[in-house]
Amino acid sequence: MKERVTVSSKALILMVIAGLALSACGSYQAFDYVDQNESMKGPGAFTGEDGEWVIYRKK
Amino acid sequence: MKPTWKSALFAMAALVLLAAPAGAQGPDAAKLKELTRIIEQQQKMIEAQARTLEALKTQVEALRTVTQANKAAMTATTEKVAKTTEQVQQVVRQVEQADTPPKMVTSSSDKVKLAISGQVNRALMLAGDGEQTDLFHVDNDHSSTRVRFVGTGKPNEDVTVGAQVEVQFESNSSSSVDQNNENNDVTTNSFTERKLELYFDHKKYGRLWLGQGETASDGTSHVDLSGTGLIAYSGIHDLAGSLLFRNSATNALTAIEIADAYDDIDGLSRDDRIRYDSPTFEGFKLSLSHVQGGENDYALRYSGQWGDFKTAAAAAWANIASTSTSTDFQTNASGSALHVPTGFSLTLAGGQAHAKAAGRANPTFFYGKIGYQKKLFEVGNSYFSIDYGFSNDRAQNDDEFQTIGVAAVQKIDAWGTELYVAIRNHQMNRSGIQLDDINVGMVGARVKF
Repeated sequence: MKERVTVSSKALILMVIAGLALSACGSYQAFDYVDQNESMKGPGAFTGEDGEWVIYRKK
Repeated sequence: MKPTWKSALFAMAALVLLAAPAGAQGPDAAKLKELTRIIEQQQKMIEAQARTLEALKTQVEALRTVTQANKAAMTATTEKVAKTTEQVQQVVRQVEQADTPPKMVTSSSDKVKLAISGQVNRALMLAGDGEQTDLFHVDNDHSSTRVRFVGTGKPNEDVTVGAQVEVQFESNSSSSVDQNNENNDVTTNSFTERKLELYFDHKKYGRLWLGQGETASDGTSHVDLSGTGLIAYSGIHDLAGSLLFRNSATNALTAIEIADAYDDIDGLSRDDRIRYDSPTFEGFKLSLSHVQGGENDYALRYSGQWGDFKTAAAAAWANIASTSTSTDFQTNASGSALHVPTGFSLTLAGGQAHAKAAGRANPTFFYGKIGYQKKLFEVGNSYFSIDYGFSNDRAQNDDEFQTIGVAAVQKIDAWGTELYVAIRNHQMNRSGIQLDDINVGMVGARVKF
């Protein structure tokens, strides 16, 4: 049997703190995270940069 | 009869002769002769000038005629241009009034939009279980083949109303095929639901969702800035989740699937729910939802750029006691940081499910990935990653699962295409049985419409 691998909650907290410390190294700018597996944003092969056909009409 | 220069000269000459003394015959005669000669010479000059004048008069007359003709032609051209301009303006007015060609879709509202998008994601998957090797033609379940219709309306500046229909069509989903079921029979060979929902969004008060769609906690284990999530992310069971481990001693297939051994505890997935998202404040957003069956979940998301670092993170808590026979609630989180100048990224995810049964260990998982991205070719960005994950006590106490994988994705922007390749090793340890590793390689492409 191979040795079991675990991650303690202390280690996770340390990683979060490290991440926050890393984040504090510069000035904040807005950034919208988009899940690339869910997003339909372009470029698309036929739709171009937007990745979608837009039907936008008024009578 | 009008007096002329000629008659005037003769008159002057006569006066000179009459005025001359009677006795002046010799020198006076010569003088008179000379004067007569001068007068005749001047008369010839006057006649030549008269002819020149006449010729000039004729030329002026001709020029006047030409000018009048040009003026008439110019007037006709101007009128023609004005008429054509009027006709063009009339056509433009007609187009503006109609707004669209007659066969296009129209709406009675000028504040609505309908957008259509989609993708096809196909791959070849080669899998070896220690005894046999199979080649599968699959739909990559990391990001399935799908089509989406999104309608939005904006009654005023603050409010947006939206509706979304998104369905997928997976022929041979990579997460459903196994050694005993290599073709379409294994999954529903039809459209299946992903999102059938509507929402009301207010700039100040947030967004309310209603219908089948992402619960508040969905995706909270998947935050990933590496760019290889298309083929490698914390949901590693999307690659080949149904493949069966083989008993090393007997070489027989067991009933233990990869998805039995590993789960990324990614919230409540998509379901029929009501969900609320707060407005984003300094990069933070709070979400909560109530799901059909009595489940509920809460999530906190963050994204922002600090200096050279793009960062994103999410954490969630989900109560599934009302529908799950094994779990009361679960917690999970993930985060990713990308150092933009160098292209290196670090992604981490982890979670724990709290078991209902006494004596049952709480299943846990951890996932970590190091990524690198750079524009190596003009066609688009290149992404590389190496990742590692493990899961403990997933199906039963003391189960141990580990996985390691490498992946590469190449974007081709002009084609809306991503080419990808990945190799992954899966190891499973269970008390009382020795299992062979499963190795999987996948190569494929995702094309967005």
